[in-house]
Order: sequence, then C-alpha cells, then structure tokens
Amino acid sequence: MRLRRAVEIGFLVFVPLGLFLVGAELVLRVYLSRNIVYDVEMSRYAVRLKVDSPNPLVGHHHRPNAEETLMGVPLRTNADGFRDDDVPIEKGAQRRIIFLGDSLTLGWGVRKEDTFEHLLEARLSEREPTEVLNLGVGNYNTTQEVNLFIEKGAKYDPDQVVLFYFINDAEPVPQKSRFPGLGNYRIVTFYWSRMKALMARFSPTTGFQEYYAALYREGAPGWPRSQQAFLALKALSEEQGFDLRVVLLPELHELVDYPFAKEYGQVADFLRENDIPVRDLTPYFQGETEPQSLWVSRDDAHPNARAHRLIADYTFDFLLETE
Amino acid sequence: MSLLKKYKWHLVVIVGLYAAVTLWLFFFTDSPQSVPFEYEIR
Repeated sequence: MRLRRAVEIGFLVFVPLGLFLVGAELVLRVYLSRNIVYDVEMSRYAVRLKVDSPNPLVGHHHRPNAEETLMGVPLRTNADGFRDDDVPIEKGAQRRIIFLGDSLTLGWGVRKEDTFEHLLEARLSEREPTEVLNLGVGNYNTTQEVNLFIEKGAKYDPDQVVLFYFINDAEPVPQKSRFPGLGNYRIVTFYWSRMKALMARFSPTTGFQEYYAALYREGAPGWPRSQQAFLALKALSEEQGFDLRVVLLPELHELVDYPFAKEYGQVADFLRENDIPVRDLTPYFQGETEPQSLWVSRDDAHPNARAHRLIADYTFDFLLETE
Repeated sequence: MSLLKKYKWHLVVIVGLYAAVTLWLFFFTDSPQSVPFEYEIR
C-alpha cells in the first residue's frame, strides 16, 4: 500500500514536470527561431565558440577558425581565435596595434565592419598604413586580457597595445559552470536568466550598480589582480618597446550622472600613478540622455553600431598621441 | 497506464500551473537589462 502511494506521488511529481520541460523547450525553440534573447545568445556563444584554456590565468579563449551567428550578426574567428583575419606574424611596413578587451572590444552584437576596432583601423590607415588586431574575448577580465596577450599577442610584435577597460574587468577569473548541460537547454537558460531579473527587481543589491561598485571596495579580490595585470603589461611594454595605453569604456545605463565615476577615477588614478596613459570616455558620453539608443538590444546593454562609432571618434586622437 | 487515466486531470492542472508561472515570469521580468553582464554559462 505504501509502495503504491509512493509510486503515485512520484508519478504526480515527475511526469508533469517532464511533460512541461519538454513542451516548454519546444515552444522556446520556436520562439527563439524568430526572436533574439541576449542570455540565450550568450549561452550559445559559450557552447559554440569558447573553449577551455590550459592556462588558468586565461581561463577560456575562442575556438580557432570558427563561425557562428550570434545576436543576429556573424562572428568569425581566425587561426588564433581572434575576431579578425589571419595576419602573418612577421610585421610588414605598416604600423601594428593590438586591442585587448572583453566582449565590448570583441564587438558583441555588431557586425565586424561596425566595430570600433575596424573603424579605427580604417581611419588610422588614412594617415599611415595600420593593422589593428582584435584580441577581445567575451567575459574577460584584465588578468585574462594580459595573459592572452602574453600567450598569443606578443608574438605579433605590436607597435602599440591598447587595453579597453570596462567596469566589470575587475571581476575574478570566471569559473566553468558546475552544470555542464546548462548552455544546451533553452528552458534552463530561460529560467536562470529570468530568476536573476526577478531577484534584481526585488533586491537592489543584485542589480548592476551595486554589483559593479562592489568590485572596487576594500577587500574585493578582483581589482588588486587587475592592478597586478596592468603592471605586468607595463613591464612588458618597456621590455618589448611598444606603446601602452588604456581606454575606459562607459557602462551604458546612465551617462548623464555616471554612477561609476568614483570607480573609474580609482582606475584612472592608478594608471596615471604608474605612467600608463589613460583616457576615460565617460565624459564624452555625458550628452547621451537616452542611453538605450546606444544598446545592442533592449535586453543587452552592449554598445551598438552607433556607440562603436562614438567610441572610435573619441579614441582616435588618443592613439596618435605617441606620434 | 492506469495512473495516467486516474490522474489525467491532475496532470493537466499541474502542467497548466507550470505554464502559468512561466508565462508570468516571462512577462513580469520583460524589462531593459537590469542585471550585470554575466556569463556563468560556460
């Protein structure tokens, strides 16, 4: 009798759950064939383009020679896993610049020809033949950016290295998810994403402002590691003889009264104290009263094509200051 | 099979409940990005 009761309870728990999950996965896949959802695209990016690096300081990098459509735009990687064409290691007559950064530098959500990397390469080449290599990888922090440069970028012997810093670059190196199937099921991604949004709605401490500000507080582990990485890159620039500079990219939620002015001030002060030229782009964006007009989509605050154009405009002369 | 027959309407109601909660979550949290960029799914 007890066994029969247990079977009935098990039936009523697991059968409807299984039916619902299978049905919801199918409905979501139909919905996603016509709509783009940022978190789903990010999970596809993780599954299709990211591979683990044997170097724990790099964590992950892009699969070489891969191609995928993400956020509705093609994203193709070269033999080194950069979102760029293959270039010979031997430098030609042109000036060579390497851009380091995260998904913003990668050009997440915008076509290659609309990225600030591509626009700057074209504009710089009008003055002098210039080749820009884009080493931007989604989810990177400063430690990963610098270590990717050491591993894959330094061999290209650049004349200049520009690190595009974003407020979350002081995060610790991300760990691989403990749930291996997470990125493969849309319903799991959906619940994960929407539960985060729900929590942010009811608890301000889970929102982006508190999260980013906390990265720079006393005792937070990421910012001191970013500082170490900056110093390592500075030492490398002196050793190899390339010009090093840093551009601070704005967070695009609130630009008139920028909520991270204190944190970016902290970053800029550190860089200046260590003789690393820095340009904070935030003041240049202060006239943008409708920041969402700079977003890739409503649920994705990465810079869109117009924002990339502005970043290129405000960065251009800074890259020439060495001349 | 006998369980399926016996609890047919229970199943319909429970699945409907899951669907209702999911739809509520879908519309209630449909807002401009409010959480940090995060890529735990790797």
